[in-house]
Amino acid sequence: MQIFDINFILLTLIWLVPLLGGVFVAVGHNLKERTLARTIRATAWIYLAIVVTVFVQWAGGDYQTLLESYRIPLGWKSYDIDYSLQFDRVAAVFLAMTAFCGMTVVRFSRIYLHKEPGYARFFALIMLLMSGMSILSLADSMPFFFAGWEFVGFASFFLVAFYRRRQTSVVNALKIFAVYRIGDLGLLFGIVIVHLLSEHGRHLTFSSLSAIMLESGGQSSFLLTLLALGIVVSATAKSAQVPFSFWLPRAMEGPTPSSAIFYGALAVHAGVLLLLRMAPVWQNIVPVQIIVGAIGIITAIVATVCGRVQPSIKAQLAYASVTQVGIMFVELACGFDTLVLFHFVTHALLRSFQILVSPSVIAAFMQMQDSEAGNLRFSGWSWERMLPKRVMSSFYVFGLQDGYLESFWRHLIVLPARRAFVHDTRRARHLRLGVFVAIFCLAYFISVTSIKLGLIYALTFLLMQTAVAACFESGTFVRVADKVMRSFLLASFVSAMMAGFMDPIWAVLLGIFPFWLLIRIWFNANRDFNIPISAGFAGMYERNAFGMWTLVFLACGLVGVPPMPSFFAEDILIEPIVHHFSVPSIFVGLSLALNGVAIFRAIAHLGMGEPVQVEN
Amino acid sequence: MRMENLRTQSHRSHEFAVDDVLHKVAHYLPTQGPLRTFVHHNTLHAFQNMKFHAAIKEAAKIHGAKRYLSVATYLKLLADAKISSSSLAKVLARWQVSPDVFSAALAKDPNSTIETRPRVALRELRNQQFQFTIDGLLSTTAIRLIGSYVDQGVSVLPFPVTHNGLWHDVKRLKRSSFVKFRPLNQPACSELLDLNSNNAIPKALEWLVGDPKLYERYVTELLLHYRGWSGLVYQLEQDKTLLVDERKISLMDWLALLLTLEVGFCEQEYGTKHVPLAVYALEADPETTINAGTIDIIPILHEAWEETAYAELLTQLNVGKKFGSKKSQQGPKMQAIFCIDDREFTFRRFLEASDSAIETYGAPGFFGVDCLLKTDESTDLVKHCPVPVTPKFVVHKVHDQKTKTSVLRRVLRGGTGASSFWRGWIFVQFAGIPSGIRLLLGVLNPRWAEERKLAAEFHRSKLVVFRDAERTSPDDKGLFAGYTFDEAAAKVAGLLRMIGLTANFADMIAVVAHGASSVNNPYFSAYDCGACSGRPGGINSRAFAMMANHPEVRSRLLALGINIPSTTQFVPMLHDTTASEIEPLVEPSELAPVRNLFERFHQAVQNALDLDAEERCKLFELAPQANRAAKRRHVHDRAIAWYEPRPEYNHAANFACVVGRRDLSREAVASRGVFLQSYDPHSDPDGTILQGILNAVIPVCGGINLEYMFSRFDTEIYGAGTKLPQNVVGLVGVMTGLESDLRTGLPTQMTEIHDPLRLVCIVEQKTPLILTTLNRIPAIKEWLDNDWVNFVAVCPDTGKCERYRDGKFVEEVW
Repeated sequence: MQIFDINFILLTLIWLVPLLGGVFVAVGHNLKERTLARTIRATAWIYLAIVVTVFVQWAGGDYQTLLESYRIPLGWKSYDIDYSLQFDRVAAVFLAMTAFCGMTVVRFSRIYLHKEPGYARFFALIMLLMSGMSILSLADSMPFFFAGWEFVGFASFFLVAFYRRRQTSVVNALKIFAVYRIGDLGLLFGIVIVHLLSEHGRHLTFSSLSAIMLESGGQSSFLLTLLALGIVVSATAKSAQVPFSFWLPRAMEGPTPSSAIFYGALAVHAGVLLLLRMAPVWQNIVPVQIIVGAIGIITAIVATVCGRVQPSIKAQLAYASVTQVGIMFVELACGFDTLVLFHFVTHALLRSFQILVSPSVIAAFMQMQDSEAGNLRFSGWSWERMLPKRVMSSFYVFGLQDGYLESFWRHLIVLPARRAFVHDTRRARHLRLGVFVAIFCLAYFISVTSIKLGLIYALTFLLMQTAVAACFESGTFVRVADKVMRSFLLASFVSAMMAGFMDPIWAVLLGIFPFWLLIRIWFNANRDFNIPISAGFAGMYERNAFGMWTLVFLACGLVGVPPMPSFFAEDILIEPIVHHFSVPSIFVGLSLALNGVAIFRAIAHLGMGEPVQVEN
Repeated sequence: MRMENLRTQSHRSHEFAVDDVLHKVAHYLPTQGPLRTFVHHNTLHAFQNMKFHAAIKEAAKIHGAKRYLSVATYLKLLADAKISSSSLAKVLARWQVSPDVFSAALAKDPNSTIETRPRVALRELRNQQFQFTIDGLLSTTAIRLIGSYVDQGVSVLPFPVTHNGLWHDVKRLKRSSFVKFRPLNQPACSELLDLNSNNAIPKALEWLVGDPKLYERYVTELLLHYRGWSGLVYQLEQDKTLLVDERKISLMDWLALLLTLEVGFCEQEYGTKHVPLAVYALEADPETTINAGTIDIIPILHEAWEETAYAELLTQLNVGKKFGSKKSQQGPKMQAIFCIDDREFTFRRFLEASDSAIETYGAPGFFGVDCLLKTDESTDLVKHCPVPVTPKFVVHKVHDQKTKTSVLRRVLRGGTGASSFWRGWIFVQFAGIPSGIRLLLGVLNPRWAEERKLAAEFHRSKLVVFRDAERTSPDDKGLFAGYTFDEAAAKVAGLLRMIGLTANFADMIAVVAHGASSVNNPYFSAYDCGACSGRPGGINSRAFAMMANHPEVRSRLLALGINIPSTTQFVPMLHDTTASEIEPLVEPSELAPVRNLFERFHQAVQNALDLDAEERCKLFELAPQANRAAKRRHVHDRAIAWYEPRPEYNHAANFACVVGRRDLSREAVASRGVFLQSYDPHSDPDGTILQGILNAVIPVCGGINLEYMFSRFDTEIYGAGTKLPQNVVGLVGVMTGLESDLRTGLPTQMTEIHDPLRLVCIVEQKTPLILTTLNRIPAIKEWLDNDWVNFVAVCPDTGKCERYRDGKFVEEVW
């Protein structure tokens, strides 16, 4: 394969064009609205043209999957970046929908967002989403797929918090981000396992999955099952399935078109896309198939109950989306891949339309009242009314509280974590020290001789504690960054002990440490930003937008977000741990995910909310 | 000993009079009902007994709102000479501030004169104590509950029981549920739920606050924190008919529910660590103060801005000139009665310019026909007259065709549809592609997805206006099914006398109601006719024309001294102000006698609509700069485009109301909106007509004016914020994002270009007569006495302008 292959260039442009358009708009946010709108419209048209061209190429080639791959050597050991793309049936359908919904929303928002503060930001984020969706559709290698996954996540976070002065929006954006991080975690593990599986070539792509499965004779190994489970967790979180369903209605905080394209049309189906891509793996493991089917069917039922009682139109539509995606999961579990693609297309079209015209609902009801028998309430009959009264009330209460999913997570993770790791009383400190020693001793005695194993377990506990503490840190941004850095160092020690050599520590020092250092330097230069998180939301975007974006950039580097070089450090860090396959790997991964939550919480507190007066 | 303590404490807590406090707080709550009938009113009606500027200050303190526009805005106006120096000098003289002091204050940091720091809410103390807040939990649960309870049809499964009042129904729901209802399953809540709401409130307060001295402040803060929902609850308590699906609901229940939920969450989250708020050391109330020593310059600048605009308008009025010379030569060929609405102001000017044989009049857009509309399909009677009026007559609209709407059609129109499990799955497969196509069409060109024209709604149906004279007694609700000929004649005579049209009838008299078509707009009702309770006035104009055209009514009018020639025909029409269209509301066959005149009128109307569209396009930044036809198309598209959050700027920039003969205002070309009410000062010797006019005009126009003003001053607290993330809840209102307080007031997309100037009401009449008239209507006089509306009298004979100041008229230099 050669770099100047026309298909290679076209496929690359598909994700690059919207990204460039978005960057242009973001950088030129002070330009006239008309100029910005023209740029975006041109970008959308170019995007559409490229997608159509590739489609024609593909159709002309008798619908043979277009495969392009290129390895970008990192120049360090045998690590390199696997940049491979494929254009097949799934990619075609998803890209077509991205192009259609992107075009529609861009046209719609051109006028809908007229005069709105944040016009440029909105379009930049929509472009980021389109780029992310394109990467998801085209990516053939998992690390590249992960980059798209993160693009969608970031665009989502910033669009939900689009009205950044409103505290509710920001808090909801943070909740969503936390769920997304759980999704990231599953995918991250998936990537590492794929590395382990394909040790000889280091490169395992979606398109080669079925071949590998054939090779292994359809036998599911433990690793494969684990990979499948990681993928399922990821897809479940990203597509708002049970037990994560509560986030989708919470996302209805941005302008209506962004809600439509994200949570009606595209982003909510990202999990479905992931499952489609990984189908050769998990569809051959019956227990996982059953799990996916069960998640789907439980979600569909829970979301139906929740959706039926929602008094607000956007919440109702959000739950309707969750229900349909749940049904798609069931269809996937049954192996009806073509049906899923069709279902995705029709659902995306219908739901994005419904959300876009949701402000019409009052007028629509009044019109119906004019032309149809009956009073304003037209949904006279519902099957719940046939139920005994107490059962119906239970349904109602269940639905009104989002199926208890949010409080489930609160009680399962947030509250215990706060209690166990954060409270800074003497008793809590002693308790933590005790646990540390206890774990060490226990692991030591169980393994009879291994001090190393004892240390690894104890360090993992310490790591977890640091990461959780970072999430609840109430000091300044720098203190959060320090804690994050500390947990990376701990992780690298654990990893190094596992691997038996120093690579992981080097990875951290070369990949993540520089970002931490830059943050320290940057903060010393910008004393303005020294506001403690406990002071509430500080609205620094409005005072110093450039500074805030710089900080966001540095923070992304610190926590190893894909486009950043530090992402590979994270990859290298976690690999030996998973390789040796001990329980700690889960905790290490979890703490890395928490780092992201911690740093974005700090960013939200510093940047969003009502602007405050800074006393110098 | 301890028992005794407890008893005295509980005794003391009962001293706290819930009713009184609720009554007091209810006063401050927004008075906005369900959105499907949007009625403009003074946002600060609770403070109307105070002087304007003092009221703003007081309200700002209570609501934590902004008082005026920003200082920078006023300074820019000053720099751009939008505030003239002569007006400023005049205002300074009136406020008794010397120019030197003023410029000194201006030179000093002008920002220091605004007080923006609101009092720290009591519940914040708790948040500070625990470092995390239960506000989010409380809001989510409380808003879900109240939203579901008042829901009129968004949810598929409605609130299970709705007959016994909010408090009891929630209680019953909690008790009959097998699953936990957080936080009502907390022991503290269960105790409270055993009580009635009025007993639960003091008990909950005792638990939360502890000190009866703080109860009132706490309750006020809590209810004002949810001011939108509390306001709606209070409105529904006052008038149950506001909801089609009626709810028994009271502020007391809502407060009890809020407090109980708060108790529950405190117990759930803080557990044993919770202590009543009174335990925390209370800082002395940091009452906000305007920094002493300097003067408050913003009200002065604001008033100077108003005076500048008033002066500009007054110079354009025909004061003191002899008029009517043109009219005496020959009678007008066509007459048209419009609504007083400020959107008709420029249109009327263009119409008269298009054909000099057209004479126009202005009257409140229900044309004196105060009625309830009954349709075949609904049990609901819809009010078609100004809000303060309680109509006794029912007009019946008979549908000739009925259509059953399929689920697909419902969804394509923007209603909700099958969104559940099986039905949803099947539905998605079928509706996906059609809705995608429709979306694409509508986004590419809104005309490809247009539904139907506004006028069409009034066309198709037969209207029953009259009833037999024998049926003298009303039905059990005190309503009459239509008008007798006598009653109809009285209504017609009343309107004609009011506008001074009692002779010189033209052969064709158009009765032009107005409405505004818009799509994807929860505020559609705010765009329609305010004099018809936020509905298009088509029914009223049709009813009026039917009455005035009826021979029996004509003969009775003759007896009342109004001789309408038999050749005269009244033609009802509807002006769609958004789409720029005017269409007759009768079948073409009925127009036969005046066919030629109608054609001529139609031509003039089309020309005027073109000019009007061109004028309106000046306000729209995205309007085409090209030819007139393109502009007309553009404004039409705004009415039907889903992606257009500003179908029109309806009342934005309204600032004046002229009550007088058309000749007075004929040459006024003010760039801002003016309400025009026709009135002949010579035909009203005792002021009864004027009294009727002022009774309607001041509250309606003043209400519109002040609602726009305050929504512009503080877009978040008085206004509804930006429209874009709004979410319709229960068909009764909108929230921002998924869940928020119910948003009241107007969104920024309606008010952004509004210049918040108080209304100036200019009346053509002699001052003694005005004064005696005003004394008969104290409620209206209050508006003037407290400066909520400025008032100028123009003498019909001499043209002398006098300003109403503190109960009397004084001459003023303009």
